[in-house]
Amino acid sequence: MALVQRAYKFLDERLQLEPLAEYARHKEVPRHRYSWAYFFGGLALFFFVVQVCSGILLLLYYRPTAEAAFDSVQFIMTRVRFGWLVRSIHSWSANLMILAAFVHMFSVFLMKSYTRPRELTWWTGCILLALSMGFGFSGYLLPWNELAFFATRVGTEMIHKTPLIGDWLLRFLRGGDDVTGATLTRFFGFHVAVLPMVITFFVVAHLLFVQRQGMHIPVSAQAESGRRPAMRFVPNFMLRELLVWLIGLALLAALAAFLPWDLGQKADPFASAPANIKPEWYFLFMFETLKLLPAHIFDVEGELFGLGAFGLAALLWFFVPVLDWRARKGERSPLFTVIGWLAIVYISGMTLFSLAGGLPK
Amino acid sequence: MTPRRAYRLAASVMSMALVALMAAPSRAADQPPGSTCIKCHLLLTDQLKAVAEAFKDDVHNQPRLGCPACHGGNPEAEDPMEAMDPDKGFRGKPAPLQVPELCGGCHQNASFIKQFAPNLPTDQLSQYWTSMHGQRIKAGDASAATCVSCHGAHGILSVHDTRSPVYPTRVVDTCASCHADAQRMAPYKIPTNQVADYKESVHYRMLTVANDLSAPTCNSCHGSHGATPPGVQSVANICGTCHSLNMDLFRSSPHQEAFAKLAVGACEACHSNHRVRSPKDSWLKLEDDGVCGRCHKRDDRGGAAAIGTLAALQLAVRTADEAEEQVTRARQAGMLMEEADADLQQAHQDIITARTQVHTVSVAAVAEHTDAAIKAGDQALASAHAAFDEIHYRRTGLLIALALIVLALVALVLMIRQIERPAPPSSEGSRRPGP
Repeated sequence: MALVQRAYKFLDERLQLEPLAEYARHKEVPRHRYSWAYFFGGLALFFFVVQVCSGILLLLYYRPTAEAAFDSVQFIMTRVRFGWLVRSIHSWSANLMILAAFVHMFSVFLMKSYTRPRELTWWTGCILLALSMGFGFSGYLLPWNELAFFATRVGTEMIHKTPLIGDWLLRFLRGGDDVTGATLTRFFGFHVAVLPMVITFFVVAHLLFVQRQGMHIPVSAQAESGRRPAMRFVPNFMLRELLVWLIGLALLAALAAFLPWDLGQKADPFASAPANIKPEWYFLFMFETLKLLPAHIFDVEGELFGLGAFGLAALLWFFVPVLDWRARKGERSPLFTVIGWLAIVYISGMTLFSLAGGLPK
Repeated sequence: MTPRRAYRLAASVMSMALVALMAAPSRAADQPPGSTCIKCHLLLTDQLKAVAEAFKDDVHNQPRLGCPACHGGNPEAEDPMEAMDPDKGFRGKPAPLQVPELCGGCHQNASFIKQFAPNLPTDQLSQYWTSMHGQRIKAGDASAATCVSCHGAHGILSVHDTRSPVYPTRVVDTCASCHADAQRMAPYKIPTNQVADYKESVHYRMLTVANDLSAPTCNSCHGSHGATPPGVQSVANICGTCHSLNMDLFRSSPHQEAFAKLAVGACEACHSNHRVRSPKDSWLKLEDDGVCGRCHKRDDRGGAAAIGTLAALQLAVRTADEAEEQVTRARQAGMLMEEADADLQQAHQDIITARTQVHTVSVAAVAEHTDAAIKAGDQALASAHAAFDEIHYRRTGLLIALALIVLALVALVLMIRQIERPAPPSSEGSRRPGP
């Protein structure tokens, strides 16, 4: 302990850490019946850290070319010591991170934690979720297996429908007219360089905002929170967060050991597309909706109409701190609670429907 | 002539006259030759109309051929009597005995045929005269098959057209129209079970289920225009057209001479002729459904070879099956089994080669490949066992990791409780005066 104290003293003399330590000592987290929701943001952060660490390890062996990508992942899984574990953890952790981020986002939405002064936290959070999905989309192709290849082809074709810039966007993403080795190299670049750089900035900003503003207490829990003593951030909340992280780690280890992530067959661009091509589960609700739409709606192509509707919904979702006028005034906002629950029911319903087989295309 | 037929003929002639009257004013120079034949026949009924309708799709429905190529006459004449005037070359319906020469008139003329179908052979007629059908026709048997029996008379389609009666998948039914007809075959004393037998064969299944057009049908073995039953000595040649390796191995075996002495068809003796089934290893048995037991006994050299060959094959198959089962289990548990798959594929390939070597009737030749199959199967099995060890290792590691995590969780919970335990009322606090 004496060594730790000496090290702290050494750093404090040079970096003036004491004000920060004083801030941490006095920081408190409110206690109420929804306090459990505060842990999901931290859980998403934990999985993000796992992603960074396992991703760096995979980079030691992965080769981002159409000829070598699949074989290198196969090499990692069969020849590299604990390679199977690292690859499985990376794949499972990616999915658990998105799941934790979704739960975090909906809990924040339903507790109306996006209201003033936390608009910036909400907006950076939305951007983080979009970036995470971008990680998922770009990482899905990297093993260069059959399913990923054709799912990327379908996914980028949907992006092609974007008005005005669709053609440019398609070529930008694919690096040509079709999904080729150039697409793989490009996606690899996005996955390991561009997206990590951008996401690091937003993660830091998001965490700074949360620390600076403290935890929001929903209107319905304010009375209860007033009655119960607040929890100290250090060490009480941090220990609980560590507890949740350890549960997340145990879940990750169990999934990686009992359900190792499948590699599938190497992609063959000249083969016909396999049946039931599906994107990652977090895109399924959109994928299934687009399949349900008729060919034309109000003289607009059905898929374009659907993508436009999703784009508009995402935009409204993003600007909800401005649109929810009652929450801004610190009042209860039942309309947005209903909207939040409808979104949850719709997304989970369509995802489950798609996982159960969905509509034949 | 019955009154009914006389009435129908009169009606037909009157219809033709009516058509001629109607067609005369509108006859134009742009009508293709032969068009008056079609035009009139389409206004008739029954068979006389059907021939015109069928001819629309006929490969001969093109300039310089058409109706007059076979029937003669004047296709440009509007008057039916003039168009079908025997003095102007109208031949009417050719008699069956005339059909081969009529078709051959064009089809053996290479310089004429190449104007229409440069790749079409021109030896059909000469082939035909060597066939049983041709020989019967030469002998004056008008019931024997001629060109039209298989190709049709009007509406003749290319052999590549799936609707054609001589398209590979339809040949058997075309042949069956005569050869499965017991009454029709009775005078020739030909059995009529060939078609039913063939439809149970692996060849028919490949042709119709697997859609493999290279699989043999009737004409692949018997010939098409020169159709004739193969003799005992030529059976191996015919089967060897496709199964060349098997034929070579058979010819190098003692069976070649023995079968010739016994006048037994080489391949047919074990595989049958029309009802060629997928061979099984159990055919090597000397009892039950075994074919070796038809000639060999347990105590002769052939019987011993059959027993040895069967044992070698069964051991190889058992090894490969067991390895496959274990590799599948390992794959289902999430392990990548690429190398084991390659070994399994090699084992299956060696078993196929060993089965081919059965035609040598040499136990050593078969064992060379079954040994290789067993080796490859053992390697696959070893890979599967290594995968199970790895799974066990992973799960043990997981359990240890989970135990450590649970310990850490318990420690954390205890630590949180310790921190949050309400402080015992201090003596100083108890002495504090009340409000």
